[in-house]
Amino acid sequence: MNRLISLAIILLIASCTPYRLIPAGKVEFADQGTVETPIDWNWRPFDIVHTWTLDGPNLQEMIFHMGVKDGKTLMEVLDVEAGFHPLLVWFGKVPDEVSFRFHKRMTEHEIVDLFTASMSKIAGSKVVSTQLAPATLGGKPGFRFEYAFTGKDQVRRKGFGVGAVFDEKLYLIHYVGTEIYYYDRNQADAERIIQSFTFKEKDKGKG
Amino acid sequence: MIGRRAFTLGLASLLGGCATHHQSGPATGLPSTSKGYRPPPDSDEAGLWLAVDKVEQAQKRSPSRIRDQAANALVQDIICRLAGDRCPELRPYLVRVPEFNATCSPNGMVSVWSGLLLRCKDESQLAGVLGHEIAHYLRRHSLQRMRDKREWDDMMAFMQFTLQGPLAKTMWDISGDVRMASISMFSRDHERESDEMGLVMMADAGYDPFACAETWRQLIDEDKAGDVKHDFNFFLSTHPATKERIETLQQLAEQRGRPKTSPPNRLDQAIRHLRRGFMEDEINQGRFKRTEKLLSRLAADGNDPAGALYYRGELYRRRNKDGDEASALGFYHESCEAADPPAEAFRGVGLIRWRRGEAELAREYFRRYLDRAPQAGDSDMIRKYLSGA
Repeated sequence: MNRLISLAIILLIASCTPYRLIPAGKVEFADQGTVETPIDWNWRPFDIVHTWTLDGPNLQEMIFHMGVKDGKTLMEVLDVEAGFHPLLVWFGKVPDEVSFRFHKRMTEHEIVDLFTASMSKIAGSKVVSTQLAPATLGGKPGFRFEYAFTGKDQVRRKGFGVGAVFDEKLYLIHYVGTEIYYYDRNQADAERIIQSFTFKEKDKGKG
Repeated sequence: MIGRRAFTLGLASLLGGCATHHQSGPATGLPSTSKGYRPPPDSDEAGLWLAVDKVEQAQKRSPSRIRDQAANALVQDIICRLAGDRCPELRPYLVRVPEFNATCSPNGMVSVWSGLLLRCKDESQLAGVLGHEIAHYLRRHSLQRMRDKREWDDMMAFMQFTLQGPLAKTMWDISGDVRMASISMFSRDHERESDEMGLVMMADAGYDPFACAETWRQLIDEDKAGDVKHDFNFFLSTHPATKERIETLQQLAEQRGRPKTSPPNRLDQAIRHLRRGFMEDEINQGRFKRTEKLLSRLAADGNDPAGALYYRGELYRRRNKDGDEASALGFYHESCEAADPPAEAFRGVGLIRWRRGEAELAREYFRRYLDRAPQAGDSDMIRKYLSGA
């Protein structure tokens, strides 16, 4: 119950967060990477991820997970164990809950499984991956997958994502939209943005 | 009237410092309805039905509704066996929710959650739960509880205006506690009545009455594994203590005895193709201990050991604590050796072997995976492993 309340509060706060215009062109994600976008987007921070939308997050959205570290969840809100009281942890009396975490040795399948399990928690309904194939992200070997789900609002959505593990961190960008109209309308834009991704210069040569 | 009587009784009990223990048996309240009953249009019951009708409309369109023909046909058939000529009034809706639950609304909408279907070892256990819910419907318990709560709320509103003087707050607090205790007690009586009626209905229909107590034992085992407490609270518990329910159901089953002929058991056949999806829903909950207990029981039950072993492996792999990878690998292997293994069990072995650098062994299992699922959505990725990339 506490977790649900926390999630509700975060969603409420997030819903009040003002958007900022991302003009077409080069966009930098701190010290993690850059992309080129052919069109303007509306940006807002959500948890530890960057989210972009054109018509609203319920219609279409691009989500950037930039540099998830070993042992971390895809979003902070998904780390249920972080909320356990230290004394309960000490005495081994923690609630029967585990968080789905990224591990640097994960295979591509496991990362996609982590993604769908995490997204299922956020969406409140089952997210299913439909395709998984080799791909590259920022020139690094990675994977591409497709997924679909029907949200609590009974709207069917689909998405795709491209990811890679680089320097022991997970980089994952995905695009999701309503199956009717919005996904198709901006899928090509999302593909171009993902193709344009480059890791920051300082990281080059480490992989 | 019920509320005021309960208030007086509750206040007397409270002041006397004792708690009333209720034996199993019919609760006080409204008469059961007869076949084809519809509430008078200007009644509070009609309002209740109208509200639930709206819920049912949403349920019909819900994406979580399970529309599988075989599973729905079985549940409908069990309901008809239990409810007899009242069957046409009851409309089952199977929904994909990984929790043990079923409900029967006043208008005849019966919701059966996937977590219940997964946990039932056989058709008798499912019939026991459905019988309990149908008893709630026949005895109009929702209406009784609504009226009881309303009468208590009226009483409290009245007292708010009439209680005066230095003892007013104390009396108000006591009344609030008595209200909670009375409402909870009333609800517990309904549960007892439904337990008893449900068991009689299922036994009359030829099911094994001992299945009712067994269902509760399984649930307790699961909750114990997850350190979930079943503390009974006189003021707040809307259901009787679980121990009491098991004892009562066991006694009632012994009075009835085992059925003369083998009870029908079509459950496995009806949900076999859905069960693995239900197991996946369970591991997606992120509840390790309870799910571990559940899956180990399912593996032992023999309905789909290969599926249960595979998802046990998934459960350990996802947790990824010390030794979990080895446990996962062991369960995947066991699944591969069992009858009708999921193709993903072979992939599971392959991925762990691959990660460990055991490339040749990994490839062998990847090949076995593709043999079973050549059109799998991840076949390109698997072929990359096979090509040695």
